[in-house]
Amino acid sequence: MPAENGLQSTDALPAIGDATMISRSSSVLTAEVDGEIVMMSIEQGRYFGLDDIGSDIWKRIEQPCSFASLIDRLAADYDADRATIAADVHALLGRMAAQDVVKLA
Amino acid sequence: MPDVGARGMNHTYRLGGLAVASDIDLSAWIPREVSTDSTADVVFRRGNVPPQLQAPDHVAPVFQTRGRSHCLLALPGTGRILIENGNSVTLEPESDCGTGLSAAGALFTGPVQGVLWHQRGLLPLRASSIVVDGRALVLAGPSAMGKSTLAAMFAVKGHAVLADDICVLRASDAGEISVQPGNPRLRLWHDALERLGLSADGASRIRSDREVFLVDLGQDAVHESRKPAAVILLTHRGSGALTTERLRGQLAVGALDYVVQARRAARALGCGSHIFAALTRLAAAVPVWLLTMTDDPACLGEAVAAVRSVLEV
Repeated sequence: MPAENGLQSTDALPAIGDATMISRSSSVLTAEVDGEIVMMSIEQGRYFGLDDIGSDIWKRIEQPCSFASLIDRLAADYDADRATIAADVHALLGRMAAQDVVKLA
Repeated sequence: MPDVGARGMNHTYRLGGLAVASDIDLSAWIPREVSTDSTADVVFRRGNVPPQLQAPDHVAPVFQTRGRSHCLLALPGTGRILIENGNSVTLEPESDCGTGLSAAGALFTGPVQGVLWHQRGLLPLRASSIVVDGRALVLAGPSAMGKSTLAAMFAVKGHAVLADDICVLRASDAGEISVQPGNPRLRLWHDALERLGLSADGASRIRSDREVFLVDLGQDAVHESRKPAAVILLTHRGSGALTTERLRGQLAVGALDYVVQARRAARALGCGSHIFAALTRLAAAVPVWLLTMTDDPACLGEAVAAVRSVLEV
């Protein structure tokens, strides 16, 4: 699930479990350009882009939700098994959290 | 116009819709305003500038900021420049020799103007702009990428120059983007003049130590803002073929951010959100193209054809 531009991979992903609450960071600005969600970290002044799937995930966490809830909703809409979706989304959220784009609690 | 202390100023100019009063002759850089009065939007003066701002929020090697209202530039070889509230520029040259003032005048078209525009809530890009079919074609890029030369290629074919070197964009509350008229004089190196078949006779030399001239190609001046048609981001590689690539989404916005004038100082001034909003609106409104030039002398002609081609897409 390649879902982002500019979100570098990180070796130390934060722990994310089913009960982990996911929310958008308040320190990120977003806008839609060419159908892509473009984001900028206010703190770091860096730009990120999310592709269709990443943008879909971003829209689904407009209201904070648990990781399990997010995966359930994605599994219901995407033609992939839940474990694969969970692994891909876990990796993406880890990178987004490392760049302070999302908050994990 | 508000009176920001223009009394006693010897020179007045018009720049991007602003009345500028100055006690330094900037006529080599900015067209002179015909009528004069005692008020101005921006005053440019010589004076004492402290080496440090009091209680700065941000300190970088060449600038300091306090809030959005104060920016101190410390430029080796030129002097210190204090830019306040988007309406006041005070210059203390490093020395009284001509070089200091000459360099300061050149800077007024660069970082100083950039900070001024940011403080006034507008977006300055390192770009030239020409009018094509009534709209503004924005040619953007770092220094020495050929912005002015490419603009001149269009100008000699009769296209009006909207702005050179700095192109100022306004994003309205309704989300509309417009390109403001700026300085229409093109900054051209001597070899570019020769390539264009133009003479340096009568052209103002920007600095005594550089073969760069300000050239007025004589088209009718443009006084109104124009909607943008496209942004062409110029880049360069030594050899190979000229290429064009359409940038979209984050790639387009990130590349545009790179050509924001005085962007680091602007972020320190707290303009980051405003810049993001303006750049994303611009990228959403018009196509953004990356044009890679080469050292091949034929490249300029190919670049004009390539730009015309992308405008028709």
